[in-house]
Amino acid sequence: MIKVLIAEDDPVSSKILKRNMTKWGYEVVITKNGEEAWQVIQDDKKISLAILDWMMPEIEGVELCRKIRQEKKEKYLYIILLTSKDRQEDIIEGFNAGADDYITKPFKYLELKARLNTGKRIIELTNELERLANRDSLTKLWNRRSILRTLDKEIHRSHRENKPVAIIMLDIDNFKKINDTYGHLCGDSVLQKISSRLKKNTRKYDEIGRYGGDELLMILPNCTLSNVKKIADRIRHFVCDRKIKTETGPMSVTISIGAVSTETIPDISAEELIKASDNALYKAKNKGRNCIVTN
Amino acid sequence: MRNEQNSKIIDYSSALERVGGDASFLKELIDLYIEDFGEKFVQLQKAVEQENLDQVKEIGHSLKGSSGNLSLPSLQEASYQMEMAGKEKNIEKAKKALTLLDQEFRQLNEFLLKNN
Repeated sequence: MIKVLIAEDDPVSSKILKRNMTKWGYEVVITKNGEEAWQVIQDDKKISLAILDWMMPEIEGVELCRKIRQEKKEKYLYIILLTSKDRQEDIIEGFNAGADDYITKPFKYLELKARLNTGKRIIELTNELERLANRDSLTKLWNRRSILRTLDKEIHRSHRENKPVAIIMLDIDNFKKINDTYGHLCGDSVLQKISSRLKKNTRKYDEIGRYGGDELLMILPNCTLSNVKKIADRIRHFVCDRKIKTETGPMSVTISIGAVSTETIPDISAEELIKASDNALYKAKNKGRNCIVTN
Repeated sequence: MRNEQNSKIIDYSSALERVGGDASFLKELIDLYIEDFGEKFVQLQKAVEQENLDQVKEIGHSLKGSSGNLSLPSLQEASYQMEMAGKEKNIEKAKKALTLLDQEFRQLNEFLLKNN
């Protein structure tokens, strides 16, 4: 369901909008001025469409539109400006400020519905693009680019908040052998199933991505070394204790883990942290696999 | 409501169309409008008295929007006069628009009383 923010100081207009849009299957949040709208847009990440009245107290719609385009980078917000001004130059100013569409007051029922449908189509396209750009198509985990960006962000945050961040680098033991013996389709399916087991076993604020090949990277914010050890151990059991169903029958698969936390190595860069986890993973492999090594 | 004779006060069918034909919801909206108008009119009186023309413009604009959305042509026109008075910084015009708004609002109320 598409979540919509309406910024409109006139209660009659916002009530008409809310009633109609709820009926058409949108989830609607109403704000009464530009300032309030800006707060909600920043706080509620689910909002993907905004209808902004041109003339409002505090911040005008067109000004808010510029602010959103300048400051909100993460997720595309489809903006419809609401105006009783249907003068050519106002419409152009609105588009130049970053609006995607405009609706003139008084509303026309069917036109409103049709313009919202256009917005919905564009939002669904951008969501799809975003998914394609950030997700790994095989495992549905974050892709390398995306998980590394998250790591950068979390490291900055850990410096700012003075809390440790931990990462887990893991890979499947003898994955090459699985591929060589049972074929790549079987290998893919093992990787998929392990990914989904991992996903089910992460905390809400942890992120997991495919770093490359069969190497998966987990980011655990606010996590000490002893915590990451415990989590890594839990993960190893969760992944390996039950056999994985494949087309060639149930298969025992184990993983090796390198786990590190910035608790013991503060002021480390993202790159160095990855390197440390890679080294730990390498040691785990040398120790005979199916085990965890920490920094 | 008979449309032809009262189209200057309310264009009922066009207002009804705007809410997808839901008559009871339209009634709810009109009640909301009347309540909101009452508050805004008091603010307008104050703004005209204090010659706060920016506020005259803002409230006029807002009333123009809600009047338009409920298809109330004469109230829409009176609100437009108010907005323009604010824009042109013309206090005499604002005073006239205030009287006009008051008259039109009374007419709407009378009409609703008769037709409910």
